[in-house]
Amino acid sequence: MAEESSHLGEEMRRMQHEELLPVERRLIACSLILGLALLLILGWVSTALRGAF
Amino acid sequence: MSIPTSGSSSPTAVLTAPARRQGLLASEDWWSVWLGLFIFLLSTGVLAGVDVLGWAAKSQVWLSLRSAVKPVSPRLASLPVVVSILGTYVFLLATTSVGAAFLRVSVRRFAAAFTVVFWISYACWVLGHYAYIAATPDKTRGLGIGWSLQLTGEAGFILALLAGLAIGNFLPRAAAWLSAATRPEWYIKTAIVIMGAGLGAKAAQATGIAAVVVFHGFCAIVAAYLIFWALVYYLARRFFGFSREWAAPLASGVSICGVSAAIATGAAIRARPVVPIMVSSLVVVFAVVELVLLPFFAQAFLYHEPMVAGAWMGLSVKTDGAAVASGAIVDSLVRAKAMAVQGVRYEEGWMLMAATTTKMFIDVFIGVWALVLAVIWCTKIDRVPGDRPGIATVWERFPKFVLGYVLTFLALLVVCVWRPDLRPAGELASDEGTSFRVLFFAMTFLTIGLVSNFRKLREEGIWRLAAVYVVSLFGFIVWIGLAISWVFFKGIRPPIAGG
Repeated sequence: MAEESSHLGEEMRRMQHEELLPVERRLIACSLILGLALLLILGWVSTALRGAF
Repeated sequence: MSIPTSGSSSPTAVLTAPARRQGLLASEDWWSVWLGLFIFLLSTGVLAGVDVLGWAAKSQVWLSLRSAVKPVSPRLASLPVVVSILGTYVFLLATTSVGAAFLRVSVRRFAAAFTVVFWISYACWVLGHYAYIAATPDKTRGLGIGWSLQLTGEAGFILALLAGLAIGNFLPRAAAWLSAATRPEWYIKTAIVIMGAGLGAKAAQATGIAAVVVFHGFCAIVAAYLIFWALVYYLARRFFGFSREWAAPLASGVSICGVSAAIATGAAIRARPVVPIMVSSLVVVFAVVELVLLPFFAQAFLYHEPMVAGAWMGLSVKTDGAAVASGAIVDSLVRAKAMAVQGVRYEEGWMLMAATTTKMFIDVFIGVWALVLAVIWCTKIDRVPGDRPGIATVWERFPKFVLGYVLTFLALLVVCVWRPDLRPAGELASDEGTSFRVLFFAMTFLTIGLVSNFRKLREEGIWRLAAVYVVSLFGFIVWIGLAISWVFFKGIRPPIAGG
């Protein structure tokens, strides 16, 4: 483990660029869209229900 | 370390029954579940009127060393502190040594190294509670001191990290001797299993008195979680050139719940242990920076929206302790300013509750997100062409300690909701578990320091990680967190004191 750490700087310097895979793009897009959609829907629901609490 | 390098095992390997049984006792992941559940079960003795762990040592903010530690249970307040501390040590030594034996570590070597790890960690934890280091503004007056670094007792974690770094970097022989007990993942995973019970007890409290805060806290974190993670992951991958193995734990650590989330994500995608550990180190350092800065911004600009201020702390400040501490500071600062500027005297504790609630839901969400990532990595990213990974593969890869965490959370939540008369006992059970949890956390930070060669990292690596962290945290997480807190908590006011 200590050896692993000591090579970390070198690894970061030489880290090869990994292209974003389609599944990663989908994960990012779905997460963002779902997050924004939920923000809008739950924001509206919370405003609508606020009087009920 | 139990978690193999990414892609190092066949994703479609199907374990035989004996191998599966052996796996239940032969990995740190499973042993964190057994150890965490064992402590949890003993702590729940108070629900049946049997105080099994009441003798455990609990630290508190102190000015005189004599008042630094006391037994966690009020019923055992007369117990000598030395007995309480020694009992805590012997209990942890015995239980972890059993695990070490099953993990095929030399028990003699483990016990010797664990003893040193424990006592250094414990000393750091107690020292971190020194009033001039730990006392928050709401407590300094009560302690009769004029100033404090205001770092909360969690400063003990920073001290443990610094001690570990000093040993790891300047005393390499000592660090090598301690390697048998240098198991940060085991400690942190066990702590997370125990933490579930504490959150269950808190959640049960919240359901009765503030459904509105709970509901809005839940809404806020669902949205924030998904937005934060995607943005940080994209930033780390696209603009900072991090590999998937680094980007995923980094995204979880920055955007979700710091240490626990980085470890859970690292386990889910089978990153090497050093990856979440490095992220955790950054999380701890920046949580302290946030703790020192954000409450004062909140006081200056959000005193007219107190619940927004509280929720903002829960969404923005990483690590549980720092988030709750910032909630307590905001509660104190904002109430004081609202009184001075508006003449309004809000009831104490509601902003702290907003912070705690949002943080609590973030913590609960860790398990869900770890499962999602485990499934995606297993079935899509690390998939070997031609293989058809099934449920067995997902199960093999799933971080098992998350099960322990969910189990302890649900168990105490159900008991406290179903039997409200047992809530005080449930809270005591949670306190008793917490006495051990914080020590596992402290040992985690010490051993993180032991395995981190920061001299090398400082030369080439750590700044790149820190750059992603700073850009993400202060570039958008803090501000999106503020916006989301505003959407869900604007207009909600704490009750007026005496009103």
